[in-house]
Amino acid sequence: MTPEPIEMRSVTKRYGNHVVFAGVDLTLQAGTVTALTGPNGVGKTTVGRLLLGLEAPDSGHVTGIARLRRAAVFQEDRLCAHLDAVANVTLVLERQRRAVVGQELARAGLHAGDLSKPVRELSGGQRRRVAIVRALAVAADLVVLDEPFTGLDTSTKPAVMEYVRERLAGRTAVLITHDAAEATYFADRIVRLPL
Amino acid sequence: MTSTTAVSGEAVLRVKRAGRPLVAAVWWVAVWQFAAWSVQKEFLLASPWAVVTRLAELVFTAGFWGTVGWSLTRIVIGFAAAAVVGTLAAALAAASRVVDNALSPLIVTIRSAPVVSFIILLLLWTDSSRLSAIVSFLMVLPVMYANVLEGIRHRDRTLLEAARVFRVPFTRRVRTIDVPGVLPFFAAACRIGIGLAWKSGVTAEVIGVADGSIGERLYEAKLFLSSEDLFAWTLVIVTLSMLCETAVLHLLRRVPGRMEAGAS
Repeated sequence: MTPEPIEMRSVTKRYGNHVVFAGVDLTLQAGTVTALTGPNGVGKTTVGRLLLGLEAPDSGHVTGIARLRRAAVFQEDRLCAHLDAVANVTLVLERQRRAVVGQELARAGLHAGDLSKPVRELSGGQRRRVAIVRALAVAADLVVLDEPFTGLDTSTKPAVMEYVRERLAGRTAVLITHDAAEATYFADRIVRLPL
Repeated sequence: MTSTTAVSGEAVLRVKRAGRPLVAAVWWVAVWQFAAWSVQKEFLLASPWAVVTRLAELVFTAGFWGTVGWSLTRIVIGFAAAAVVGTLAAALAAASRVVDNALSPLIVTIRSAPVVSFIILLLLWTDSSRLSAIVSFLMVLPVMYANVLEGIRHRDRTLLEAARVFRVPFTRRVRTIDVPGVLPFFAAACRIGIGLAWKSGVTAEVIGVADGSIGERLYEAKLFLSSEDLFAWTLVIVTLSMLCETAVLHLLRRVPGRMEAGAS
């Protein structure tokens, strides 16, 4: 049976008197990557938060997300600073296998010596890679990646992008990005906000 | 040659840093000695030497350790009970506005009421042997409650949100996000609370003349106009309070490591 698509229907979101967007319709087909692009302030991150269930719409409906297992790369790394890279990833997994997680982190470009350091001792780019691996290690039905490659240097970014594309194959995902090249590289469909 | 110079430079700095409190202590003892010479009356202000001599006599008596043990046990029980009850009450108050509203007036009342009011009231209800534990508990409870509640409310919201998205199990979240977030607030409450427990506990012992307690020794010092005993026992109280604080903070420093081990 084909999984039910995730849909936003006539969704309006306000913060106080400020209307972030009004009457937005969006459909995410199962097993595809949708890129959300657009200038600052159009509500790309807010769409991501609605899909993650962190916000409720002021009007309209978001359907198909109720029972979904979700994962995210947030704009900020949101890692536990005192835990090491492996522990940050195993924290969100049902079965905690340090060795397997260590291999995944190595695939994302972290060196063996960095895996057992508290993440506060890692560089910004290394922490970003831990956040990416954490989101992709979960067997999630929906993955939201909000500007996932921010802070990665030009030498490591292509390898991390390749890793992410491989891990997203066949999964339902939303990529929020300013970068048209990133959107083209990953997405089966590109949606430009405001709609 | 350069590295030897660097090492010796560091050693000098370390000695200087370690020596600063000692210099300050020597300065204040000198001020005390000068004041004692000026007053010229041992019963009003004993000299540092007289106090040290008296303390040296006391520590070799069996009664000294019995007295220390008596007060230490009760004050530690009062403090520990306040730490546990205060933390649980704060967790409940953070989870439920109804509990918060119900507990707030009680906590404010306990915090604002003079300690002697509690001591006198408790003397009507119970015997003086339990007094210091109960009074320490009551004085430390509002500090623990307020600090831990503040800590819970200042946890990293972004991490909690991430835990919600990833459906991190409750116990795992408590270990890795909640406890490390609240711990600095709990440690601050312990630092304040230990001093408070000793001050209020010994005050209760003095007023209640609790048999076999440090407070009773202080009461006797007042009766017999013995400022040597008064200062000697005060030094004992300060030392015990500092030792308790060091022990508790040492234990708390080990908590993040244990949490980390549990998370992996």
